[in-house]
Order: sequence, then structure tokens, then C-alpha cells
Amino acid sequence: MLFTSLDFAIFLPIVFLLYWFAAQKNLKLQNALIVIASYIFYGWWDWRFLSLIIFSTVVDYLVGQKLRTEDQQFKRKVLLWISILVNLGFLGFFKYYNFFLENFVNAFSLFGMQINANSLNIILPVGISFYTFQTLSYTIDVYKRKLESTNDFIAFSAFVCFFPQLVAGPIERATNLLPQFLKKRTFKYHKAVDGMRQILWGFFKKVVIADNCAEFANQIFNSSSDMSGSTLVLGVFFFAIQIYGDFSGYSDIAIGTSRLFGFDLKQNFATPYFSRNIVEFWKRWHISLTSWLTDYIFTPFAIELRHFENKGIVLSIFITFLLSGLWHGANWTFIVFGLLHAIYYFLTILLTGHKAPKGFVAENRIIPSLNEFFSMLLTFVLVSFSYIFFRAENLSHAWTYLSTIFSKSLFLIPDFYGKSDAIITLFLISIFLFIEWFGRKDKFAIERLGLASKKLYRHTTYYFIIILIIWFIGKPQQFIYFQF
Amino acid sequence: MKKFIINLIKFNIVFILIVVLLSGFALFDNIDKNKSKNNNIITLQDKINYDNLDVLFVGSSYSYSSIKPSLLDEMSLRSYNLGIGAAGVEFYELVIDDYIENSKSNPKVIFINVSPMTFSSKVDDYSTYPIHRYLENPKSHFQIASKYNRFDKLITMWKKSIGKGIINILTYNFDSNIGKATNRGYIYTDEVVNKFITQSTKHLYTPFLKERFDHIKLTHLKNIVSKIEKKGIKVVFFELPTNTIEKYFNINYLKEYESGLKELSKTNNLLRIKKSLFTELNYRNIDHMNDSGAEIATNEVITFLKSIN
Repeated sequence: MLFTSLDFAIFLPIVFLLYWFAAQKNLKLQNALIVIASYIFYGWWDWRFLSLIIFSTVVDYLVGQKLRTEDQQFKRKVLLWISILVNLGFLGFFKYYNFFLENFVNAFSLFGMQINANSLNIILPVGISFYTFQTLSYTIDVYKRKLESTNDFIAFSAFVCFFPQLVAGPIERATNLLPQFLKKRTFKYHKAVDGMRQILWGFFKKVVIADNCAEFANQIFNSSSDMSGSTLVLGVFFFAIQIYGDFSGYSDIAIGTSRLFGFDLKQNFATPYFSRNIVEFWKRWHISLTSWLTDYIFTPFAIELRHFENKGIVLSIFITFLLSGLWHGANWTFIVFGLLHAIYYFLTILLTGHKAPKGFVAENRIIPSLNEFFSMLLTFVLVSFSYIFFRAENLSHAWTYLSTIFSKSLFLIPDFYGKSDAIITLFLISIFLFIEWFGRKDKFAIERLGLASKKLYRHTTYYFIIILIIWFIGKPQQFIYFQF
Repeated sequence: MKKFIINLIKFNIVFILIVVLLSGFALFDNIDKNKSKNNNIITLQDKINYDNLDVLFVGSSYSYSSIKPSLLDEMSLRSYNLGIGAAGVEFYELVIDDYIENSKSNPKVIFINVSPMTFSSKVDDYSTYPIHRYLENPKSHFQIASKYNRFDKLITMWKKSIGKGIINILTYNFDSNIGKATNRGYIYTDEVVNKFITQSTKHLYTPFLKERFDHIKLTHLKNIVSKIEKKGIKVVFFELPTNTIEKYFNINYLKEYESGLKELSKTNNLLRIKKSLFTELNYRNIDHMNDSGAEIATNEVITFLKSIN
């Protein structure tokens, strides 16, 4: 079920009313309602893949139970590996089977060996990368004794399949989300209103910004061979804004929806395009994935490789980014995307000697200093450059795209279908970035609107945003991160 | 909790009032009908000046680019070209019904243009071309949505009307009346296609490669024809050469299109104007003719009319 669909507009109020009216007095009933609602939400897309979620839930619940009573380190490790193999097994099969098979066959053919292997027509279950990582965090944390395993199967199921963040995150940690399912939730007016505000902002980002940008980004990337270098640069810009609006918009809707049900999810984006270097960018972009990879990939590797000192750290950075790229999809383009960021990250640490700049850009000021401005610009350009690989169909597409950019046609006036609409979109983007700039210290850009402003001003702004959303809701595009 | 729900209801009531207020502007979306410079609107308004027709041409932009009614005058045939941009079967029905309902006498023959485009999903776009609002008896968006099951387009149509209504109100006194069209629906251009035109517009046509032939549209067209014929009007289908457009449709689509034409030709005359009569110089872009092409195409129609008396 898409957040931007009519189905969801009907589904959400029904679940909300049942949750707070019919099930309010019984925590177990509330959790059971969340499980049922989440299964309906997921099954709306394809009910067959519900079995994967249910299977993962049962396995991780049982592993958690066993880990609680098991003291022998070897047996604990076996239990952990059962969970890892089951979860990554599903992910590997559905997401990476064909990719590795094809590359395996190609690699052997290089040495003159022909291997007959048939690729399978596999459908990628929506959100598998997200819920797999979420449920894995539970068993790893229980294994590391950072978290007490739960006896409450319903609460655990609700944690695994919680519908607002089931298919595209934020990837919640069991340490943050699971305890919230175990204690009574009470309805808080301001929390719910704040949630509605965040949902509204998420819809604005998705429908008004991302979907509009998608129209031009798709057109330019899909017909890149017929476009000039300058048009292709514009295409990358549109895609950069699209992917941010799309993904952070989804996160805002997910976090806002969770708040309606009394849950607090972690912030997933913190105005990443206002970052002053790549290290800061990764602290602000898809925060839940970055922190997951830091805790469960980078840190263990860095510890294992500590004898190699700095070389070990560099290797850990490269492994983490490589896996981060691969997490996004089974394509060499994503691997190059990851490796590019590893190089950026490594060079940033090498050149600046420190990690992310402290605080926010232009702290206590309205406009950034010249130095900050150029740092932000450089970071944005580097990130946008990597998006060429992220968005391209394959490496050869990315390569021709890049070679057209760096040709004489870079100096031509951009030309593509719907230029006048693109100007309106650019105008909307500038308003969007302006609002984001002034809300860069908050959890979402219009958070402060609910704190400081008068009702008339506040409501007028909401109506204006809603009208813009309805105005642009024409052709809804699927959320980009659903494919991951 | 109660406070939250009550406030939410209040918020929505105010929002509905705003929507109703905005919808008021949508009622003014067609007050520019006598002032607009849009070819579709001019053609639709001008048609009423041409009654008692011998031949009415109905089609898309292919029709208004290729058929010159003035050439039929030589045969003493009164004709009008009701070609509408991006028209498909639904637009055909709307304009034919509107013409018949509002003319004193029915045309003797209606020539209906067919092309691969006619049966694709890219035609009959009411939000881009809200022609139903410019008919002699304008149709509401809701009427269109219910007649053709286009409820998914209702919001887009409504949005377009609001925007247009506001612009019309703001600019109403500034525009002057344009007067009737002089070419009876034919749109003149002497531009000749070149590499730049092809390159810069190619991307508009590439999505057609994924198109599927719509058999429902074919059935709908046959129903329209039988409805017209019941009124004693003869119907002829005509196909115009469209430069390189076939390149942009997949083989399966073109195969089904060919068998669709075969089906149509079983009950009605089908005039397929030969592509070999034209060179690239007779086209203005990937799929439309220029004036020199229109001369040839119209002469072919005249020859055909002579052959069937």
C-alpha cells in the first residue's frame, strides 16, 4: 500500500480509530491490531511474501528466547548465525541470486570455462532490505547482551512488521523500538498534531518536490543519448532533489504516522544537502542505515583489523561503503556508488584530519559564510556525481552519461520537453530548500511552525501546503527506496 | 483524543469550504472560447459557421495538418476539418455528437481518421486538452468521468479548470475577439522536418514503444460508426502517411493495428493514402505533414471521392 494512495487514506483513519477507541485499554490488543494492520498493509502489495516476514519473525523470536537462557559462547554463536543465515539467506536469494550467478558465469567465461546456469525470474519482496536489517539488530543486540530478549511474541511481531516503517524504514533498532511495544501508550494531543505536521511535510516533499523532479530526471536519464551535457547536468540535479524528497518524504510520513500511534522513531534525515563535507553528509543522510552499518559492520571490522592500525580503518571504511552500495541493489552501479563514497570519505578524513564539522552550518547566523557555502556546494557536487551511477541503468549508461557531460555540449542551453514546467519545479525546489534551510536545526523543516506561530498563520500554511499537494498529485511515482 | 478528532473535523470542514470556493473559479474555464488562440478551441467554435456539409473530416492533429477543405471547393463540396490535437476515439465521439446535435442538417459523409495513435493510451487527454468544455453544449468533468470511466483523471481536470478559470477571469478584458478561422480547421505550416526537429522531439515518441493496442477503443469506434450510420450518414475511414511514426511502435502493436484496420474495412470504406506519394519534404516533423504534404493528401481524398461519386 502506497502512502500516497487512496487505499492508505482510508486504511490509516480506520486503524487509528480502532487503535485508540477499541483497543486502548489493552496493550496486547493494541499490539495485535498493529500486527494485523501491518500484515494487511504489506499483503496489499503481495500477500505471498507475508510468509517471509512471519518466518523471520518466528526464527528471530525463538533465537532470542534461546539466547536468553544459553550461557555457552559456542552455542550462542551458533544461534546468532542461524538468525543471520536465515535473514541474509532470504535477502541474498531474492535480491542477489541472479546478480551473483551472472557475474560468476561471466567470470568463468573469461577463463574460457562455460558454465550452464539459469537465472531465476525472482520478484524482489518490497522492503526486504529494511525489515531484514531491523530484525537482525534484535538478535545481534540480544547476543551481545545489550538487550533483554522478549517473551511477548505479539509485541515482537509488531516490532518486526510495524507498518509505518516496514517497507522503507527508518531501520529501527530493537533497543529503541521494541521497549515501546512493551509499555502502555497513551494518546498525547501535541504528539499527534506534531505527527500530522510531519506527515504533511513528508507528502509535500514526495508529491510536490520529488514527483515533479522525477518527471524531468526520468526523461533526461532515459533519453540521455539525445541530450546535451548541460541538460544532463540538470538531470542529475533533478535526481538529487528527487531522491532526497522521495526518501526523506517517506521517512517523515513514517515517523509522523508512528507518532499518531504513540511511537517515537529516530530521525532519518537531517538536511543532508547542507553538509559541509562527506563525513557530515553520512551523519545526516539515511541516518538509520548509516548507524546500523557503523555498529554492525564498520565497528566489528575495525576491531578485528585493529592490528593493521590506520590501514585497518581504511579497509573497514571501504568494506562498509561497498556493502552500503550493495544494500541499495544488485547492480555494479550501486557498488561503484558505494566505492565512490568510500573514496570521498577516506579523502575527507585524510585531508581534514577530523570527522564531521560540529553543530549546524551557519550556527546562530542566517546565511552561511563563504567558506561554508563552498564546502556545502562541493559536497553536493560530489554526492550528485555519485548519483549518476546510482540512477544509471548500468555502468556503460553511466559512462556515456558522464562523457556527454564532459563534452562541448556542456555549454549549450539545456533543452528537453516541458521546460516551462521545469522552471516552475525549480521555483518550488528553491522554496523547499529555503524552508529546509530555516528548519535545519529541527527534526523536520516545519516543526517550529507548531511551536511559535499563531493559529491563523499556521492553518493558512497547512491549507496552502495541502492545496499544493493536491495540485501536483497527478501521476504518483512509486517511492524509490521501495526497490531496495 | 476527542479534542484531536474535533479539531481535525473542523480543519477539514474549512478545507472543504476552500475547495468549494476554488471550484467556483473552475466554472470560468471556458469563457475564453471566443478569444482563445488555441487551434482546438478555434476549430470547435468555428464549426458552427459551416452547416449543411457534404464532408466532415474528424481526426487528430494528423487530420488538421493534412486536409485542406478549400481544395474540395473545386468539386463544389462543402467540407470542414474537425481535427483536434491528440484526439482519439472518445474525442471523436464528443465532437461528432456535438456537431450533429447543433447543426441544422447532418453532413453527408464523415471521414474518420485512423492511425496507430488512435488506439494508444496517449490520446484523449482531457486535462491537457479539455475540449469537452468548449463544445456547443459543454460537458462537465464529472459527465466525462462517468461516460468514459475516467474518474482517475477527475482531480487533474478539476485542477486545470481552476487554473484556467482564474487566468480567464484575470485576462478577460484584455483579449480581443479572434474572429472565425479562415482555413475551416486546416492548420497551415510550410516548415520542413530536419535533423534538429527529429532529435529534439524524439523523446516524446519513444514511450510509444511500450504501448499496447487497445481493442476496447476499436470496439468503441465501431459503435460510434454504427450510431452515426443510423442517422443516415455515410462513414469512411482514412489513414494518412505519418512520416516515421511507425518506428516508435512495437511490432505487435502494429500487427494488431493492421488487423484492426482490416476489421474496420469489412463494414466501411477505408482510404489508405500511400506513403510512396510523399517525400521527407512533405513533413514538418516526425509525424505531421506540412502544406505541400497536405496538398497531396487532400488531392488523394478528392480522387477517392470522385471514385465513389
